[in-house]
Amino acid sequence: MGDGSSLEAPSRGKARVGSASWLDALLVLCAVVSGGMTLLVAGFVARESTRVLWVVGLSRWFTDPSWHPASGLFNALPMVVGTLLTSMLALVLAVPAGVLSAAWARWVAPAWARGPYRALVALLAGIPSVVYGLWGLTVLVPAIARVQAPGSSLLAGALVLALMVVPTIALFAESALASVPAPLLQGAAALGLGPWATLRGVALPAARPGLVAAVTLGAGRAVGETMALLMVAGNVVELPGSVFDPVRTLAANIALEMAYATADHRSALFATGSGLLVIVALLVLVADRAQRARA
Amino acid sequence: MIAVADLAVHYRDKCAFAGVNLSVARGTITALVGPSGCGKSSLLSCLNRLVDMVPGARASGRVDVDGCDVLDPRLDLVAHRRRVGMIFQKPNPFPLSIRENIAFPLREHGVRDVGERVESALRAVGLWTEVNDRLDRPALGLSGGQQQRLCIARALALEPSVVLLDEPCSALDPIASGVVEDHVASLRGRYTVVIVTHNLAQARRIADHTAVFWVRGGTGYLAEHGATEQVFGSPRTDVAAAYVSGSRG
Repeated sequence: MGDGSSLEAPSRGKARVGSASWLDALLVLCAVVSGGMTLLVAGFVARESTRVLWVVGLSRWFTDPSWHPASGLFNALPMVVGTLLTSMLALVLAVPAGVLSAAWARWVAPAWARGPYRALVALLAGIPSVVYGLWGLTVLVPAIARVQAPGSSLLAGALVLALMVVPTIALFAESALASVPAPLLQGAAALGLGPWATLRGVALPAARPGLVAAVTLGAGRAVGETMALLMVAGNVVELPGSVFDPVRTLAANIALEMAYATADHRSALFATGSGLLVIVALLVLVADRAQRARA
Repeated sequence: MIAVADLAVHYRDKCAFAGVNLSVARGTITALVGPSGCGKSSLLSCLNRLVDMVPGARASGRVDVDGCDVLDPRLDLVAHRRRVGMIFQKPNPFPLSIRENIAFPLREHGVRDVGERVESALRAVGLWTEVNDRLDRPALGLSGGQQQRLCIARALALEPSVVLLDEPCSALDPIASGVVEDHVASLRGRYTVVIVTHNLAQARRIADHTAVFWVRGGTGYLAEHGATEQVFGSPRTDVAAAYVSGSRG
């Protein structure tokens, strides 16, 4: 995950501040600690997973009749699907909302509104997920239940998740749009292109690397989110037939079962954790690639 | 034709230039020359109202382009900027394909025969034979000179009557600069051209009329305006005489 870049950072920068070699040492130490922590955590999770992976292999995670790890049944497919569906549905809602609000703040909003807007978005990004969950549980779930019972559902999870991911995407998208060179915008204006055409045809393509990074970071947050989904998504380990059906995500599953899991069951939870780690690592890789493409 | 009367631009408290009167006949090329900071580019940005994009900028006076009051706040900017094309100092192709750089603005303006217009615009700047086998490749992969010609093609595709150029060759190497200059010169007759340049030899080669700007107390003004051979051959003002002979500026 972040370890590679953190470890490389001091040598890549090649900044030597006078003869303050203790500063160098301190920086190297910080880099090693932060990078090392990530490696240790990843290594620990992987090691704890191996016990069950030796026994079960890979294919049974998708072919077993059900998820009863205490009885040796390990079908995690419904939870993988639940995780991906909630995240993707959340992104489908959050990406346009986040990008458009960033574009609004950047080019349309009156000057006085920009400061409060940014403060509000930053605040939204900082609200603990359990608070989102509480709101979802008391407001959103009953509202969905009126349309179709039980209310706790894929839809509720995706909506709460979307709300949580929008500020992340909006903040990163705004900095991506800020990096669009002014000459391009002047060129668009000089051709008589309106704000909407400029956004679609010029600003979004120019900001694409940063926007991809914004979306992948949002996706990373969505995939790993635990508490809010645990509270509103219903937690039933079954493939959902519609958005009104309850789902259980991998992260919520770990939180739900860790307290009483032992032996192979415990190891199975770590294995699903490894799976999450791999997904997030891939997303970080994509974001990193996108950032580099900018240069 | 273009008629500028008593035009001034202020950036907040600072006056970029003031008291400019200038007329440009249809189909001619007029060069704006003078040292940096004398308001040449600011004047250009009044002609297509790009001055609106600068925070705190304010234009006063009168500008008429083809009988249209440009500084009128109710002016239809989209229609006006379609009539008045602009080329910038640094080539600014969009991060799209070569084809889309021209086709996208055309579609936005509701033009139907996009394909033909793309081809004829590229032919007009001599790019067609160079790029017709890679129209869908990114425009940013072109050389600087090709990018600048693409930007000219992009503006010409909208069939403007006026073309503004803000030092279009200054970011290019000498050979690319020569190619672009030839294409600018070829616009004479079909378009009314106003070009800002720091290259006096270039002004002398391509411009029918030359306007010499100067600075007095931090504010730019139009020192002399006339036929190019007169401004270079027998300048009426000391400032213009010193500038075109290379002894000042």
